Amino acid sequence: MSFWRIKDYWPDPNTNLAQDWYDLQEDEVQAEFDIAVILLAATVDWSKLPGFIPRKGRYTGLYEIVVDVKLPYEKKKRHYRPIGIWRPDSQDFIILLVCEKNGKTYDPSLDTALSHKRAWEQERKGDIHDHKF
Amino acid sequence: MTINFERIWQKLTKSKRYRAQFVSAQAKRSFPYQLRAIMKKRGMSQETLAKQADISQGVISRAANPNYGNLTINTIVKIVGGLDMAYIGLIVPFSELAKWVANLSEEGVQVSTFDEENILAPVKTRGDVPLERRPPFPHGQRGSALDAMRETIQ
Repeated sequence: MSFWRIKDYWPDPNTNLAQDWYDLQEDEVQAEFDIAVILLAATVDWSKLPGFIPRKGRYTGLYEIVVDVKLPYEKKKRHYRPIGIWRPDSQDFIILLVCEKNGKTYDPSLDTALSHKRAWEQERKGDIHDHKF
Repeated sequence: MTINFERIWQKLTKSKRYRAQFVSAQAKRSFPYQLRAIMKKRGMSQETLAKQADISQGVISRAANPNYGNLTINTIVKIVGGLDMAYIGLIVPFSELAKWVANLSEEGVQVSTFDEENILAPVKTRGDVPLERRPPFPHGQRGSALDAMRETIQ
């Protein structure tokens, strides 16, 4: 049984950025993402967890989950990064969006994630719903 | 997020490619998950386990990282040996995998060491003839198996 609840941020009633990203991925990426999220949700202590990175500096308050995927037909790993808000008191993690990381570049950018965080926390825009596994 | 057997099974029906990667990801990530859960429960540091397993702390660190993914059976067996626990790598049907994932919890992946099992599971003898020897605990059922054993001993 999951210890943490994984949720998705919906900037508007018709948009779930995490789900939109997921739906566009190959089956292999979806499978890796699913297992990564399931195991994370069943991990009690995330504070020293390899693959769970608190962002610093101007992105403080954002958290990054490392989901590296090695596809059988590609030489290099792909680096996906669900970015979100970790709320230990509520025992949940809200996925704002999922980026692909290449070197130090995030696509979409961490600024986009930050703008969603501000919209949700400060402007009360959008909504959160349970992540649909 | 509701994770249950039916939902996982539904996902597995998506495609063979999905299933293959699901198996690969589970194989890669479940050992680090269980290792961290066992070490945490026992308050064991990476340094301590490294000494017990006669390998470097860096190897333990990589083994505990779910994104590493290059662990060899040799390394796994050394680490498990350091814990004085057993390891079985088996081919299983997808229903087993789905059950494992659906029931996943840190408590459920805890395992006894050999000494812990041996103390609680003595061989009853009449003279030199063993009358009863307890079977190993089913994976994830340590609590109930130990309770049953305590009752027998009393």
